[in-house]
Amino acid sequence: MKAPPSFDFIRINKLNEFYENVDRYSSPLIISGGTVAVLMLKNRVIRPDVVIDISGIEELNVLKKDKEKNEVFIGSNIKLHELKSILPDDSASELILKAATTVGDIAIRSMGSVGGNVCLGDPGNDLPVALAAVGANAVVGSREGIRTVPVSECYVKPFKTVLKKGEILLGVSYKMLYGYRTSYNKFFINFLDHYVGIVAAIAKVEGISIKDMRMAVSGEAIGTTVKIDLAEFSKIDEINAIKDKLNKFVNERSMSDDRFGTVKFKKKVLLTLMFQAIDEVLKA
Amino acid sequence: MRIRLNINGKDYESDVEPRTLLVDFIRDVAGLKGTHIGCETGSCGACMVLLDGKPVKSCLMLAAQAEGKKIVTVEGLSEGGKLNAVQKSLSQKKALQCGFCAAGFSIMGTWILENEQDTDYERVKSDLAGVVCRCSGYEPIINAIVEAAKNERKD
Repeated sequence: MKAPPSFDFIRINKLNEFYENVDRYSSPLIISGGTVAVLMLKNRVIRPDVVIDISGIEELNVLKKDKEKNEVFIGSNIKLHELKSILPDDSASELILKAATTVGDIAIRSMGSVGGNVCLGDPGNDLPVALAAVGANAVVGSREGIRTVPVSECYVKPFKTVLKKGEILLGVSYKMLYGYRTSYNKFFINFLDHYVGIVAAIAKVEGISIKDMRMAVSGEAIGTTVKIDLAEFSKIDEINAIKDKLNKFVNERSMSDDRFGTVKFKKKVLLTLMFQAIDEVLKA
Repeated sequence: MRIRLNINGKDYESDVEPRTLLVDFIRDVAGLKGTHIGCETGSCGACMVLLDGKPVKSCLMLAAQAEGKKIVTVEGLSEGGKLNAVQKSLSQKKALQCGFCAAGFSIMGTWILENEQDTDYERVKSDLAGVVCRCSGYEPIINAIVEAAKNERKD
């Protein structure tokens, strides 16, 4: 039987309580759903002195649609399974939902929260890629106030984000997009629970003109979530130039640790996923 | 820490360590052994329970997280010794063999009947993705749940 190490446990119901309590501990672990965190505790990968359960903070359990700003805010306590019934029907939300519905199974999605999926920093997590592709921001709170960081700039390296001690992810916000095509694909090795590559893309095409096109990639091959700038392309007949740029991007990425001789394989997987995404969003 | 959990409509209270998992509280404090411990990584679904009506894997949750919520285990699905529609169908169709996964499929099947509009073969198969059976090959289980849904909706 796998038993976690010993720790204190506190449940927080108000944001202010969180800010007051979090500094009292040297290595707090913040959980909302706790699926991955509890697994990491059981495997003793992490040894916090306290586990802070924030699932009772109602301010983080909201979805706000601001029609004037054309913006959606998803609170970090929202469960992944809930997204299906509460997200608006715009294209950005469609891409986020595509990513969310590929996480685990219904039970895992009923437990796992948006905040957990975004904050963990696991390159195999689904939401960061989709959120980075749609240009979402992470809304981060602390005793000092609120700051926003583009999701694509949240990740330093695997399991390391830009969130500092004392900060909490309040949620993510993004602009609603209409009339876009979306693509979400990933390749994983099931028995190793190893996500080699994840690619999210979204594009607006009118006739042969590309009005807007965005892509983000993640997975073990890349190591973290990265947004790829494709703004220079404006025609769908530039597809070969787009693929050349993606090829260059993959070749320039550091995949130098080839102890297992898998670099060629990783590059092939990423390029296949990227080309598939481009074909899907630019197809007539 | 003192934890009180409501399981199958009954309160269970005990002094446990904060690191106590929900599945251990259910089995060792409440004495409800129908919820099994399988893979311990959230993959097999043998420890599945309903938490406020939603399926969760109790090996991936601390008991303290479940305080104030209503938990239903496989024992809580039947009333007065009468099996619910899913359990009855699994039994009548002889869908299970060793029975280790029975809790997971019964809980998940019950959730499907209560929450899914569409209960055709493909939907049920997809919803059951988080529960593993190592004997039956899934076909009889999926068919039993589809049948239970048909019968329930007929009534």
